[in-house]
Amino acid sequence: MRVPPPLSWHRLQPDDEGYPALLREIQRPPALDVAGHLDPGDEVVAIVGSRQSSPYGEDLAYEIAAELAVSGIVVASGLARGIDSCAHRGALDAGGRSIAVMGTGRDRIYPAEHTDLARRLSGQGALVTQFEPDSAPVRSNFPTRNQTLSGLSLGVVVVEARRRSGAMLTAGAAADQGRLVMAVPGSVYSATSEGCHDLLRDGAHLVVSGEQVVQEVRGDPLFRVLKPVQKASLPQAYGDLRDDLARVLGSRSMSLDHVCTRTGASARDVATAMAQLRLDGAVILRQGLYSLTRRGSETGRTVAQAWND
Amino acid sequence: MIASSLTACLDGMQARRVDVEADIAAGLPSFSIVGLTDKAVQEARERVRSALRNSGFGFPSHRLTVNLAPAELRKEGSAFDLAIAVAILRSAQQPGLDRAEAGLDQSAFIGELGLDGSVRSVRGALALGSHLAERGVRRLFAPSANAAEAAGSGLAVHPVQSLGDLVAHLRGEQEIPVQGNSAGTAPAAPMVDLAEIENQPIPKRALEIAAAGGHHLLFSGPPGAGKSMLARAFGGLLPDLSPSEAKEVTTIHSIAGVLRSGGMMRRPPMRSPHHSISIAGLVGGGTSFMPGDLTLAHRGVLVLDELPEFRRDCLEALREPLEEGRFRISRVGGTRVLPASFTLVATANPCPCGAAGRAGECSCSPDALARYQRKLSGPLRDRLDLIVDVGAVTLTAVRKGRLASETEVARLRVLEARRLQARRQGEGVLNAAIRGAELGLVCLLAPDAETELRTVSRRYRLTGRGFHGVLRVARSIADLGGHDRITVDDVREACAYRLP
Repeated sequence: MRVPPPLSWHRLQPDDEGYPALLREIQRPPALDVAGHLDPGDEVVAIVGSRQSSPYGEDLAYEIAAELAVSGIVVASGLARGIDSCAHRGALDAGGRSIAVMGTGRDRIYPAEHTDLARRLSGQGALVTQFEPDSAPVRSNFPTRNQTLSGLSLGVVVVEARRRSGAMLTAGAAADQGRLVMAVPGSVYSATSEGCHDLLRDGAHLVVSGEQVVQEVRGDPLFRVLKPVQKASLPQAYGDLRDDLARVLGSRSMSLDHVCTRTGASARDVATAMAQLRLDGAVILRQGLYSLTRRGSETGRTVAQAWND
Repeated sequence: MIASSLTACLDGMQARRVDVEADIAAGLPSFSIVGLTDKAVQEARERVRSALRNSGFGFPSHRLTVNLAPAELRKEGSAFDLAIAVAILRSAQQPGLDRAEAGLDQSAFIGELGLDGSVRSVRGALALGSHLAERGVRRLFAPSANAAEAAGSGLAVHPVQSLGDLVAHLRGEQEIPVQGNSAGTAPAAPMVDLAEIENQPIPKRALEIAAAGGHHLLFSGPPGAGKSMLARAFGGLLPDLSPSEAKEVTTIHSIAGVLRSGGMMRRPPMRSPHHSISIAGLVGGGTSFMPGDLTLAHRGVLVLDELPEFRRDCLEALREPLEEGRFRISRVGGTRVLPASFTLVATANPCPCGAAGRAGECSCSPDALARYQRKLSGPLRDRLDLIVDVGAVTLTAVRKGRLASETEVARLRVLEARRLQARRQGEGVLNAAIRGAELGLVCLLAPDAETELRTVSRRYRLTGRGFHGVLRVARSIADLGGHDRITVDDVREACAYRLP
C-alpha cells in the first residue's frame, strides 16, 4: 500500500505576521501548530454541533457549510464525528476552504477515521492545534480548544447540540468574546436540538440557511473586511425529468426506488437524472436518501416560474 | 502370476492415472496393498475380499500383493476397489477374462465395492474420466450413479451395477450397454423470479447490470427490506453455461461430491454459505484440496448474506479471487491454484442493529458502528462495482395467481449484452474482468461522456480502482442499451450505483 507523505506543520506565534487577526484579540492567544494555509484576513465562521447527530442536522451542517464556502467564507469546526465532520466536508466538497481546530496534538489525529479528512483539510484549508505534539484527546483540552475555535471566527453556528455539550461551551465562549452566536432550530421533541433552542431563547440569531448566516455575519459591525457579495451561480433548468424530480422531492428525502414509484419513470431514467442532479449540487445523498439542496429547490422555483409566465 | 488394471485418483482439482498390479505368489495366505495409501484404501482389502466371495468367486489362499503405482502419489478414498478386484481376478487367471485381454489396456475401472459385490458411487468421476481420456483410455467402467457425469469426459462409459455384472460383461456373456451421450442435465436449484419482487426497480436494474458484466454487487439496507431475496434472484439472470464451462463446473462439483443428480450442470452454480463459515470451508481444505465455497461458486454466483458478520480472515480471503478470478492456497500436500471466478452478491445492514438512519432508533455506539463499517471499507469495498441501497418496501397488495416471469426476459437482455462483450473482448471475458491497460481500448466514450467522467472523478475524488469501476459499469450499461460508444447517461447511471 502506498503510504501518503506526512503532513507538513509549521508554528505560528501570536505576534507573527500570518497569525489570524481575530484570534489575536482574545485573552491569551495561543501559539499554534498549523498544517496548511491560514490567511490572516479570512472571514471565518464556525459550525459546531453534536457528535451524535441526526441526519437532519448532518444535512443542514453540510448544506450551510457548502453555501458559506460558495460565498467565500471559510468554515471552521472541530474535526469531531457528527456535525463537525459534515461541516468540513460540505465546505470542501463545494470547493471552499475549511479549518479544523483540533483538541489533540499534531501527531494525534482524533478520531483516527478522520485521517483522510484531515489530509484534505491541510490541502484545502488548515489543521490547527495549540497542544503539545503528542497530546492525547483528554477532557481538559476541549474547553481550551473551544475558546480558540470561537476566537478564530466572526460567529458560531450551532446546528445540533444537547443542553450540556461542547458545542454549547463554544457558543458561550463566542458570546464572551463578543462574537455572533447563531443557532439552527430543530424539532422540539429532539434532545439533540434542546441546546439550540435554549440559545435561541437567550437571544441567539435564528438561521436556517447559509445565506442567512452570510447576512448576519456581513451585517455585523465586527465584519470589517468588506468584500462584494458573490452570488452563487444557479444551474439552469433542465427542461425534462430532472425538473420533475426536483418537484417530486420537494422538502422530503426519498430513495431512488421511492422516486421511481412516485414518477413511474424507469430505474435507468431516475438513476441517470439523479446522478446528474447530484453532480450539479442540486440534490445530496445521505444514507441512501436523496433530498434537494437549497440550490436544487431554487432551480425548482425557477422552473415553476417559467411555467407560470 | 502378475496382472494389472487401470484406474485414476484425484490430486487436488486434477486427476492422475494409477496402475493397479496384483501378484499371487506361493506362501502363507495374506493380502497386502502398498503404494502410499490411506486408511480407506487399506480397508479395501476387506471390501474386495467379501465382494469377490459374495459374487461367486473364490479368494486366492496364497500370498497376494496389490501395488498402486506410481508409488510417490498419495492415494485416498474408496474408488480403487473395482480396479483392485479386476486385477486380482485376472491375476487368479479367472476363465474368460483373457478373452477381453486386448481391450483391457484401454479400459479403466472406478467404483467402491459393497460387501455383496454391488458398486457404489464415488466422487470426481468426471475429473477421473477426463484425465484417463487424455491418456489414451477408451472405455470406463463406472458406478451407474456416476455414469451420466462421467460420460461428459467423452469416454465410452459402461454403468456398472455389481461386480458380477462387470465380469459377465468382460466374459462376453451379458453386454452392459454404453451410457448414452445425451447425458441427463442436472436440474438447477429453484430460484426467486424478479416478478416476485415489487417496488424495487433500482435493485432489479442493478442485478441486471451485474449479471451482464459480471460485476460484484452489494445491497445495503435495513433488515426486512428483501435484500436476501434480491440476492437469490440473481442466479436466474445468468445465461446457461457453455459446454466447456459446464464441464469445468461439473468437474469441480463432482470432486467435491456435491453434484446433485448426475449429468452435466447447465446452469451456473450458486453458493450461499452462512456467515459462521470457517476459512477452510470457504477456500477449501485438507491435504487433498477439497474445493471450498469460493471454488464451488466458479462460473456462478457467491451470495454472502450479512457480509460484515463474516469473520475477518474470510473477508480477507475474498480479495484475491474477487480481483483475479482464482486464488492460491498452500497446504501440506503442496501449493495449488484453484479457480474462483464468480460474481459476488453480498448484503449488509447499515449498522449492527440495523436501524441507522432512522432518527433516534439506532442503538449502536460510534465505535461499534465504525468497526462494522471498517469491515466493509477499504480494499473490499473498492472491489464491489455496484453498491445499492435497498429501502424497506410496503407491500401494496397481495398478488393473485401466477406471474409472468420477468427473470426470463431479463436473462435474454443479459445474454445479448454478453454477446456484445464476447465479440469485443473474446469469449469468457466479461466487462468486470477487463484489465486496466485494456480499458481504454474497450471502453470508447462519447466526447461529453468523457468530460462527465473526468468531472465525476475530480468531484468525488475517485481512486484509480474506483475510476475503473465506474468505467466498467458504464460499459455494461452501454452493452445492455446496445450502445457501441458509452454515452453520457451511461456514465451518470453508473455513478448512481457506484458512488458512496
